[in-house]
Amino acid sequence: MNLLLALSITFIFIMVINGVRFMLSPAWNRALFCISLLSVIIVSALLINDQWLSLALFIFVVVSAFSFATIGGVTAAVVALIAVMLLSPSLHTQDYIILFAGYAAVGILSSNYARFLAKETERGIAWQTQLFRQAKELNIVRSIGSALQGTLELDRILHIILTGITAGHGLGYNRAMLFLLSADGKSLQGQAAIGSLRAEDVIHIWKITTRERMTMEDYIEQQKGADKTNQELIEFIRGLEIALDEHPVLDEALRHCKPVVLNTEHDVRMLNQRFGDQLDIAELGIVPLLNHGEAIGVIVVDNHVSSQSFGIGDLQRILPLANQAAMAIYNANLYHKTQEMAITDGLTGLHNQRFFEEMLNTIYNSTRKHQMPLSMLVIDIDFFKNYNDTNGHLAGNDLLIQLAGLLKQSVRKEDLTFRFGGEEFVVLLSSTTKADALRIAEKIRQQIEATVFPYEETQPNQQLTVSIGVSSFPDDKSRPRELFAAADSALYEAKKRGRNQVVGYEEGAPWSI
Amino acid sequence: MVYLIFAVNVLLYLFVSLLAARLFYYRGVRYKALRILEKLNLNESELHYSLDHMIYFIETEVPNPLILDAGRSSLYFKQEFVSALYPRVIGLQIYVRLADNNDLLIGFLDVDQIGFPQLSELAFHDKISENELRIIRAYKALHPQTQEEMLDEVYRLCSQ
Repeated sequence: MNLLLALSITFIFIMVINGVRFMLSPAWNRALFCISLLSVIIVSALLINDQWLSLALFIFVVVSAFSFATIGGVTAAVVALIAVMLLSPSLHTQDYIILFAGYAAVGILSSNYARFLAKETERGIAWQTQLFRQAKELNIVRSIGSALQGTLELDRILHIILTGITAGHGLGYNRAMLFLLSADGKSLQGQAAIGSLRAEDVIHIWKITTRERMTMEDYIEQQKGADKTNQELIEFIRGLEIALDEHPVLDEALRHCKPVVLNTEHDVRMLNQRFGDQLDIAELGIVPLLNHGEAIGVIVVDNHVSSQSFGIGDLQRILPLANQAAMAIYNANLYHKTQEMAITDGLTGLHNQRFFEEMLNTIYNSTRKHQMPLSMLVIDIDFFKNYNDTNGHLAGNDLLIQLAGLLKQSVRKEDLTFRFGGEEFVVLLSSTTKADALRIAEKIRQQIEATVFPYEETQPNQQLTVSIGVSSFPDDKSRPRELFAAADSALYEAKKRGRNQVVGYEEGAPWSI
Repeated sequence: MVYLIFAVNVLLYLFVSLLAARLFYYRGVRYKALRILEKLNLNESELHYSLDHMIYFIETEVPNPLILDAGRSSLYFKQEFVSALYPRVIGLQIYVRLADNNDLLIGFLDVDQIGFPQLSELAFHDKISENELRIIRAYKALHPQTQEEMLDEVYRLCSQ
């Protein structure tokens, strides 16, 4: 009966103490537990022989040492001795000394062991964190890598990379901005950004994305929406050109190809002054974009909302993404360059015949769809063979280059100029009626006639001239190839009429097709 | 007999405290978290949290046949604590129960990485301390509803 009663009382006591201790702060939780354990031991000991009390107090010392380290072990040893002295006054002084020595030794040993265990636990957690972090980084690199494979568009590449850095599924930085090195390597030009100028906007976006449970793929997919949200920051960043000689830190990051953290008061003040206090930077990370060991730009990150600090080690985690970005940017530029080369005439820099074939159909379809006119000029240099034979092919090439430049300047931005082959050029004039096209053609002809070209005096009429044939849709022909054939036949008619003139295609004329 | 009472009493105290520590820890965290939310005038049900920082150990970009075959009911979690006597939750591990009982760890959520946009806004304006944030994170991590939602989320991500 006594046992049952004692156990019941102890059980209720346990429940009350445990129920209360976790509602307190961690330190009070530990203190309450140690004190309650001491009271259980003392109350239980009051019922029995006091020798058991001195032994049971070792448990109290061990628990206290585990709870409060060395200071807990030593304090518990003193408390245990006082308890023994009060409750077992019959012991000899020698016994008290031995007991205290025992309590203190157990307290110190237990606290050391507790410290060892805590360190081992910490080490285990650190290993686990490291391992899990690596797993996450691998996931990010994999996601970003697969997203990058699907595009060669520079804007999209930049968006994907910055998403990997800023999304919670990614590295979770509050803001990321990307700058590319200028062609002369002397400055950085802002290209893209994700984030906001104001912390409130970032939190607002985060609230929405959290509610919608967006994944990294969702973030990547929704580039247009993101660009709209980040518009203010993107515009600000795109307007920034940072001269490297004014910013040795950026220069250093690029030259030494290593990440840099800027967090001193001086750095921050300098940066905020440079950015007109608009970015409200407290700490900034700069990570170089490296391709084949050469820096092509930088990614700049900061945590202006969470104020979470970061070090070089954290920035190193961006490097795999930055390297992927650099390679993707390089490939995209290379692709666009190759694409450009494939549609550009190597000598004159105008579009080539291949592109003409491609664009003629595209523009024609769009024109027809929107019921707009389309005109075409076919231009041929008069007596070009004579020019080449008399002055050599190198001079002939120079002439073609000069003439191409002149043509480019003579037409509107939306018009397309092609070198069709040899000394023949084509101009596609969008949304232009035949009457306007004839006016433009005449203006070009006059301009060429008035321009002084090298060795033009060697030409049969002592000057360099062109003949131009003009045709229009829908006035003349209704199919793209017919439109060209019509302009070409008008050109031959111009040649037949004595050259250096503009002839519009006339349906029904003896020379019509 | 009296020695037995003594020994059983002390041991009972220690063992029950050890065994029930996690339960009482949850109750304590719940009590503190609700008080903090009340102080901040926030409704628990409107407190959206983000699982963006969940770490996956399996491919999630394409539907995962392992998860699809096992089904949603095969997903379960384990809470990860430090210290037996003074427990503190540090993470949630997500497992998939496999036929050969060789269960596979497929995800982990670090409790400190659970994000609350509303609370971050308050933290930005210094209206909530880091310690208070930690308490709410722990409460949310241990809340049965959160855990179920988390399993749903993992399943959704791995199966679509």
